[in-house]
Amino acid sequence: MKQSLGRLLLLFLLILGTADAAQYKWSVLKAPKELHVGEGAVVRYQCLFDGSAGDYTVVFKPTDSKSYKASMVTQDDRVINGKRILQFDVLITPVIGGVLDVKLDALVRRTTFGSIENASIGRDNVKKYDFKDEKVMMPDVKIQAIDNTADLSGEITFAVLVDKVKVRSHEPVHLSLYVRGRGNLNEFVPFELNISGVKHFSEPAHRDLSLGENGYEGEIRQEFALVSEKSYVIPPFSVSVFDTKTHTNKILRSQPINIDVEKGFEPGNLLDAPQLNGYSDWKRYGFYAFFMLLGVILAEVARWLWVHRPRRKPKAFWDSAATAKELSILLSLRGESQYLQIIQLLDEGNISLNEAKNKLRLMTSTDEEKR
Amino acid sequence: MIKIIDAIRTEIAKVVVGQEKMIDGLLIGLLCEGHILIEGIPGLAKTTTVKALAQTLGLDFKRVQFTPDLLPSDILGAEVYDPQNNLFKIKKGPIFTNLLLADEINRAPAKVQSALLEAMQERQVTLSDESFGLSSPFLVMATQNPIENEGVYPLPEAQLDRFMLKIKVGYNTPDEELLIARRIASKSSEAIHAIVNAQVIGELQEAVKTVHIDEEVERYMIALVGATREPERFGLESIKRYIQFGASPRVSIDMFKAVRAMAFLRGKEFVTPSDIASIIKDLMRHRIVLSYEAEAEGIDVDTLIEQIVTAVPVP
Repeated sequence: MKQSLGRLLLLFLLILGTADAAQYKWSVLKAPKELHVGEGAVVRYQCLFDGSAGDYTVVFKPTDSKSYKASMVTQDDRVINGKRILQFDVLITPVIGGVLDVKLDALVRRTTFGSIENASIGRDNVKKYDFKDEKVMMPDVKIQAIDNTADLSGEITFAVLVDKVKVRSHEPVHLSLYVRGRGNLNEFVPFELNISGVKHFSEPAHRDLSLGENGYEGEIRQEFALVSEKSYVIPPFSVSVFDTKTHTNKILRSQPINIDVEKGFEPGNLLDAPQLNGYSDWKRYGFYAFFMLLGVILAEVARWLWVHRPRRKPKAFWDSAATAKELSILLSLRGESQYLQIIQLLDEGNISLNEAKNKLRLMTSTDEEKR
Repeated sequence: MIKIIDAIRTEIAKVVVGQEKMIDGLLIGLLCEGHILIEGIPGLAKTTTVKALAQTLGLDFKRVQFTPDLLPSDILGAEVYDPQNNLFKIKKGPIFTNLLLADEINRAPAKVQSALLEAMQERQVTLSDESFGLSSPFLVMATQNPIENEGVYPLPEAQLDRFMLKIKVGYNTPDEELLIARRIASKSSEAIHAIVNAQVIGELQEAVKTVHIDEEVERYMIALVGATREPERFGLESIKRYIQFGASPRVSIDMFKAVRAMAFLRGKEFVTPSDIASIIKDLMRHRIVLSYEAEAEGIDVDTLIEQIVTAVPVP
C-alpha cells in the first residue's frame, strides 16, 4: 500500500510538472524533388503548436553541408485560432550531384515560470537562466541533385557596354559589365581584364542582390576605365549558365569591341595655345631661391616690427594720486622703505605732487635698469 | 631717543638682514606694549628676529615651541605637590617673563591658545585660586606658518583680536638674500649685546605717549575703523558684502597707540595720515572677518583695507 502510494505521488508530480507544457509538431509543407547543381529552391518547414505557446522561442539557423548550401529566406510566426504556427522558408542549393539528404535542426526553448519571475522581480544574481531547451530534428527531405558544370544557374542575362569607341590618346574609355537576373548570382566570380598596352583602372564589383525564393536576385556590375595611346580591342567576355527555365546549358558571350585611339592634343592644334615660357633649369631654381629668400626677409621684418611695436607702459600704482596727500597715503600703504623719504618730503610739504612723481619715475626706471 | 631706536636697529641688523617692516612692527609692539603675531613661510628669520630683539633689549626672554600635545599648564604653570613640606606649591610656567616667543602658535589646540587670553589682556595669570601679575614690559610675540593645513589650529577671533599687529613677512630682496647667504656661509654673524634695559624701555614708552595727534587725524582714524563696519558711508557699497564683521573698538585703541609709535620711529613729534596708512594693514588684517562671498571670490583682506583707506577723505 505504501509503495503504491509513493508511485502514485511520483506520477502525480510528473504529470503536474508537464501539465502546462505545450505540444508541437514539425512538418515539411513544400520541397522540390529534383534540382540541378547550383539551382536553388525553397523547402518550407512548419512548426505547429497545440496552443498559443507564448513562452516558447524557436531558434532555427540552417547550416550548410558538404552537398548543399542552406539559407533562411523568410520566417513567419502567427497564431491562428489560438494555435501558434511558425513557418520557415529555407533555400537549398545543391553543390554536388546525387541524392541530397537535407537534415536540419532547430532549438525549441521554453521560458519557465522561474525565469519569468526572475525577470519581473529583477534578480541579478541568477547564474543560469531557467530555460528548458530541446533540440529538434526537422523531418528529412530528400532531393535528387543532377550534375551541372555551368558557372552560374538561373535566369541570367549578361551585357557589356562602353561609353565611346573613338577616343584621343590618354582619354579614358568606360567599360561596364552587367550580370542580371536570378539564380546563384552569389557564386559569380568577377571578370579579370588584361589588354596589352592598355592601362586599366577598376573597383570591386558592385553586388546589388537580395535573397528570394529562386535564389539571389538583382544585378552585379563591374566598371573599368581603360586608357591607352594606341588603338586596342576589348576581348569578348563569356560566362556559362544553366538556364533553369528551359533546363539547358548556354554560354553568354559578348562581342569584341574595337576602340580607336587617335593622337592626343598638342599645343600646335589648339586654337588658344598657352604661351609656355622657356625657362631653363637654373633660371627656374634661381626664381625659387629668390622667392624663398624674399619670404625669409619679410618674415624677419615682420618679427622685428612686432618686437619693436610701440607699447604703452603699464601705469604705476601711484599714477592715480591727484594730490600730494593721496600720493603719500598710496606710498605708505605700500609699506616699502624705499618710499619713506618721499613720504616724509610730501608730509612736510617740501615737494610738490609732480616732483614726487618724477622722483618715483626715476626710481622705477633705475630699478628696471638694475634688473 | 631716536638714537636708542637706531642703536637697537643696528644691533638687530647684526644677525638679521633686511626685514625692516618686521623689525619696525616688533619695536612698535615694544613701545606700545602690544602683542605681535608674525606670519610668514618658514625660513624668513621670524624666530631669529624675535630672539635678536630680546637679546638687544636685555629683557627676560622665554621661548615656547607650540606643539599639538602642549597643555595650558606647560605655559602658565601649575600647582605641584611638595612631599618634603607636605604642601602644594605653585610652579610658574614660561609665561612669567618679559618677552614670550610663542613659536608656531597655530600648532597647539585652541585650549592652549586660549590659555594666553588672560595673560595677554589683563597681564596676569590665575593659577589655582591665586592671581599673579606679570612683569612689565610683557610682550607675546607669536609666529605662525600660513601654508600648512594639516595639523594646525587656526587662532580664534577673540585670540586674534588681542594681537595689536599681525605682520606678514615677505621674501628678502635679491641683494639682501645674497648678503644672508654670504654671511651664513662664512659664519660671520656678530654677537648681539644688550644695549637697553627695562628702565630705558619704560622711558621710550613714556616718550611715545607724548607724540601729538591732531583732532582731525584722530577723527580720520575713527572714520577708517568705522568704514570697515559701514563701508557704504564712504561710497564703498561694492565691498560691503565681503565684510562679515568690521574692526572692533580695540582696533581704534591700538591704532591710537601704534600710530604714535610709528611717528616716533620716524623721528616725528606728531602723527600724519601717512603714518596711519603705513601701519593700518598690520592693525586690521586679522580683525576684519570676511564673508564667505569674499572667500569664494578670492578677495584679499589687504585689498579691502587699501580700498577703504583710499576712499576715506584724508584730513
